[in-house]
Amino acid sequence: MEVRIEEKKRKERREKALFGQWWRIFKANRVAYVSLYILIGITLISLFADFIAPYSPYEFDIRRAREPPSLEHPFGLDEIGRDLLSRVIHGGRYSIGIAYAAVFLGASIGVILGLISGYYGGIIDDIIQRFTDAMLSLPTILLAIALVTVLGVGVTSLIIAVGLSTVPIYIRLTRGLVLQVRNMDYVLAAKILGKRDTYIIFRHILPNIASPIIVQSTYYLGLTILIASGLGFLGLGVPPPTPEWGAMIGRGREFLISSPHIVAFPGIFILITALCFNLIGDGLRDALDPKMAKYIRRGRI
Amino acid sequence: MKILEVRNLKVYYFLHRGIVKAVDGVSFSVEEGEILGIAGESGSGKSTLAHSILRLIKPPGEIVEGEIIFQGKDLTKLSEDEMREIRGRDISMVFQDPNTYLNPIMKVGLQVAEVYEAHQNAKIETVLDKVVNLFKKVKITDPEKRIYSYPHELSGGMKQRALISMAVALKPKLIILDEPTSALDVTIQLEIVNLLKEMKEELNASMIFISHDLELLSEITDKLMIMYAGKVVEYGSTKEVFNNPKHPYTEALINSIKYIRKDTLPTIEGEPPSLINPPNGCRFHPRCPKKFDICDKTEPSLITIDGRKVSCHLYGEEE
Repeated sequence: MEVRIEEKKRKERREKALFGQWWRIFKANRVAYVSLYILIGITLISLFADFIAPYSPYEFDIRRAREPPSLEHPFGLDEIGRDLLSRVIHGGRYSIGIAYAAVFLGASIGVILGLISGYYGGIIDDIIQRFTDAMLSLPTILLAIALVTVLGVGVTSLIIAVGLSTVPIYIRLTRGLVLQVRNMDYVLAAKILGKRDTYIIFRHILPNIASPIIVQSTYYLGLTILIASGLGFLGLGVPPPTPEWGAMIGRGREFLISSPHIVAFPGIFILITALCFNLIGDGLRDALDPKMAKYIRRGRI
Repeated sequence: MKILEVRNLKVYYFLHRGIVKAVDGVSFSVEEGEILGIAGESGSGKSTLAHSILRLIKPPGEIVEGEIIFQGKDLTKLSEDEMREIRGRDISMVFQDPNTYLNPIMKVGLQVAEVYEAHQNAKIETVLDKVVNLFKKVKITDPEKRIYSYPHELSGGMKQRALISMAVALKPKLIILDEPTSALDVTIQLEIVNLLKEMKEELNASMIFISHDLELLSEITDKLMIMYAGKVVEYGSTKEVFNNPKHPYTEALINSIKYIRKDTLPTIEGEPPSLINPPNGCRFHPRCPKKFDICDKTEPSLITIDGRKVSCHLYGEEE
């Protein structure tokens, strides 16, 4: 008994040294912790799709189209007789990859513009904010549709469209956070000691506002998967025959009644992935918020 | 030799409610190696004055008039880039509350190293030795380890020492101390004041020491300037001002710190005046025990008397 407690303590100490407090709090949130593992699993499966998928995602057999799930083909065959399991596995690459790339793009642009807008204020702030207002007046999905229409259909333009459509909210979020931190004494101290604006922005302000942005990004990963799938469903996503989850649902919807499995399996994966991202976001939010951390240390949660 | 000369400085804040004349026509100078004390109540313009020397007044505040001559250059006319070069290198500052002036999520040593990085384009890894030496100088125990500590791992006194090391890193000519001890324990205050004196001797720097604590100022400063409602009311050598105050306000301030020897605590009646609508005439007259007919009509000018400057009608006739 004694030994086991000692062992547990040592493990905890080592974890604290490695990841800090927030990892322990995140781990205590079982739902978020399990979601993280599911997501890592889905990501790994998509990454190694070439080795895992039992069949080619492109090879078709029109005679066996819409065959329901069987032992040979666990997810069944799609509308022109391609193995649905293989397509779902390969599709993760596009759906999740697009989400990561789009959020990375959107966050980079949005955060930088938000930092500039909030830090300098004045006329630069006004210009960026009016631009943001204009973009925010359209719903995210409509904005993405508009951008795809302009950029044309394809993986790259899908990433750019979905990424750019998240920019205005990143600008707003970052600007708000910068306004809070900008008037902190340590920012003034840095200025008084003659440090450059770029130093102050990237070394003193950005690290202090990083956690809400990270949390927002996890939520956005979930949202962009939905947007990308939505565009795919509308035929504005990746062109066929590329296996992307949204596009798969879009093409399978004609057979929704007769062969529901064509729509169901990609749908389930979209659902699980988006849900996992959101649950991880919740976990991270609790873990990275120092006020929350205090309650957890006191054992109230 | 004069290292800093401020001439007729006016700093106003333009608010919707009106214009706040936070610093209204202040002139003074700091000699090389001298410590100038600035005292006054809250809201008398001390901190605004300190920030305007470094040109850190943010809108709606503005330096509307006056010259700040530092080593022959008028700081009010420099570009923002030239000003940045001066901040931290030639003029630096130590702050009131060490808890809020350090970035909470950055290691202390790296924050100090950044000063070298910003001014000498040095890589952080190459200046860490210098930071360790600085920490030794300001008597931070175990400096090799402390440079990797986060601010919350240090005590208040240690944090203030770290901030002082930042301020003296580039051997500035002028250090502005904005109430450097008021957030610290009394026992630590003395240590910090002694450290500041040592640093001053070592660097042969001049200092502007802003504080509420007249007793402290009387101990360490060479000259003393008393401010009231944005104006200088008395300015002269510390010994004379402290032992023989001319202005009724100075007198009242000094009386209020010598209360231990008396039965009741002497206070100054009333409150500091609004800076948007300051009283006519002498700004102190509504609270002045020695006021007479002319006080609420004309504003007294700063006159020289017995080798010091006083702004009071009591001494008007002697000019």
